[in-house]
Amino acid sequence: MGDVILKTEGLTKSFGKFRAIDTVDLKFKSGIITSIIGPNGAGKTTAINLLTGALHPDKGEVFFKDKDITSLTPDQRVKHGIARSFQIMNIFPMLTVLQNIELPLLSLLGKNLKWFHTVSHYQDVAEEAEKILRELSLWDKRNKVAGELSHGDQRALEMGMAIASKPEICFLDEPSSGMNPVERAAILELIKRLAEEGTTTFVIIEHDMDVIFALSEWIIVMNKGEILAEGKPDDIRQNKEVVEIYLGEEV
Amino acid sequence: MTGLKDTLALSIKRHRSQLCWLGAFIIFLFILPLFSGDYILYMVMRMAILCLLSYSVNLLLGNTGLLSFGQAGFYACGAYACGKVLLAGTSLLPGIIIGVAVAAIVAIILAFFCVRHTAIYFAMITLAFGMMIFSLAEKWVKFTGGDDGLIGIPRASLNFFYIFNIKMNTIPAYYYFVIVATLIAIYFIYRILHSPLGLIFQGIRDSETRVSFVGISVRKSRLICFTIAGIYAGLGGALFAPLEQTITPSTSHWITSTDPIIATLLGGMYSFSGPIVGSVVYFLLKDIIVRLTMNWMLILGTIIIILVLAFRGGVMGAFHAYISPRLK
Repeated sequence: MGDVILKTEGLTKSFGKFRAIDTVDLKFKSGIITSIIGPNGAGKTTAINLLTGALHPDKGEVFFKDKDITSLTPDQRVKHGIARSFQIMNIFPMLTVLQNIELPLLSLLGKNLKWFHTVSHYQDVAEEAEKILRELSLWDKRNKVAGELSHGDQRALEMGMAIASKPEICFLDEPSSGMNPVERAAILELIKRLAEEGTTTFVIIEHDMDVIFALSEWIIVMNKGEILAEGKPDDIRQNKEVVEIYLGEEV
Repeated sequence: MTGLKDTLALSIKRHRSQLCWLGAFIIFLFILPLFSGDYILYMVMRMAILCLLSYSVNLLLGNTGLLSFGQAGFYACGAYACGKVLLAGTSLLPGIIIGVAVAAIVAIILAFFCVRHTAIYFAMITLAFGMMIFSLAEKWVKFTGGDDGLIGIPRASLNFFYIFNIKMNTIPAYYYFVIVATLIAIYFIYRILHSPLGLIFQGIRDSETRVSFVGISVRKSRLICFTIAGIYAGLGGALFAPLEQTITPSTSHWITSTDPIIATLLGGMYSFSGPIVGSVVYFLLKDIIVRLTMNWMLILGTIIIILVLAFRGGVMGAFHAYISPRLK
């Protein structure tokens, strides 16, 4: 607990002339739910894309437990224990709910090149998939096509796919976006429970202040590609600069 | 072992009606030579070969989400390699095996260039490679015979050392060989598509980025998929050479690549049996329409437009949507 699990040094990324991320040093500690907040265009999603390998930085390095992973591809980073969910829904819409969860498990359990037996032949995959789907309350819908699920269920499924690969650190990009209050409460509860039970460290990007202050133990505020402030939720709430730029009258 | 036995029993129980249909179909194929002439057997063999080519296309299209216009290239590799080996005077199996192997090797090499690209870029680059193979077949006169192609490829007998020696010079004999080879190939593709590897292919079709973020290399998986597709096209070509006994460069032309695409769309690209049904329907349609009118392309074109506009899932898609729920 408390060791730095993932950090960046001088991370920089530009899109044309626009500097999305400007020499940023991020640090994430194991076992501490961290939130990244900031106005639109602050560079939050770009930061996650750089950390998980969806984008490559122009300058700077990413370290996972002191190992330089800057040049690794997304799938290699997942193997190290870095997973994510997406801001815009990213599931396998034509596959069933069960198959959606099986895919990360096949990779985790090293079955991804097996080509002769059916997927259901592999007991360890089946057992693990059932466990996760029960956790998500999606077990009864396992044979439904994922694209036909409700929005909330699809969101939960996507989170399930992220945690199925048993990551040490898991980035959730706006996990509650587009949800109604009931679904939102459920997903909050789920994240909390997973964080308490499991060994996964969650890093969350959110716009909803209630979600952030209910969940996080550490908050990083970004603005215009830089870190504006970071600290415990109470400190952030009282930080004048932050209040001015982002929180406004909400707090 | 009991676990395997139980799952087997369960799957037999669950798919009883499908298994009955399958059994009936296979028996039909095997007794067909008893009451039909060489022309029908020839047609069925062409259907079987088109079916292999369609699986090659659909492995990429319906399962991995990549449209290839170059499968005829691998088909021709299989056909020419098999033809060359048979012309050298070997028996049938070495010809088929070398045909498949050559297609597989070419597929692996080209895969490195192709799998980086998707959508229209993939279609164009496979088209380009296919046409390169076409011009090679046309211009490398010494090896391929140029425009005339390879002529007089023998339908060599099937022998295995001195254990057995089956003559293949009659149409029914070669028919059994083609049917058995095709059925074995279809069985293997069935296993592949229902295995973890197949699930990964379908995942790539649905969302490439998501596959890489569950820890699977998209590039490597596509490479494997492209190679298997090449093997299936190569097998089709290798079976085709002794059947026609003549191979011309048109085998590798991109027009040959479109036949299996149309057949796959006809049968349904999201259904396992789509390529089989599509190949049969395609040949029947072609055969029937050709007898009625010279303008068979016009009619076939109309049918394809109707399919794309109204029945995206092809014949099998329509069957699953409208007919099979009513049977229950």
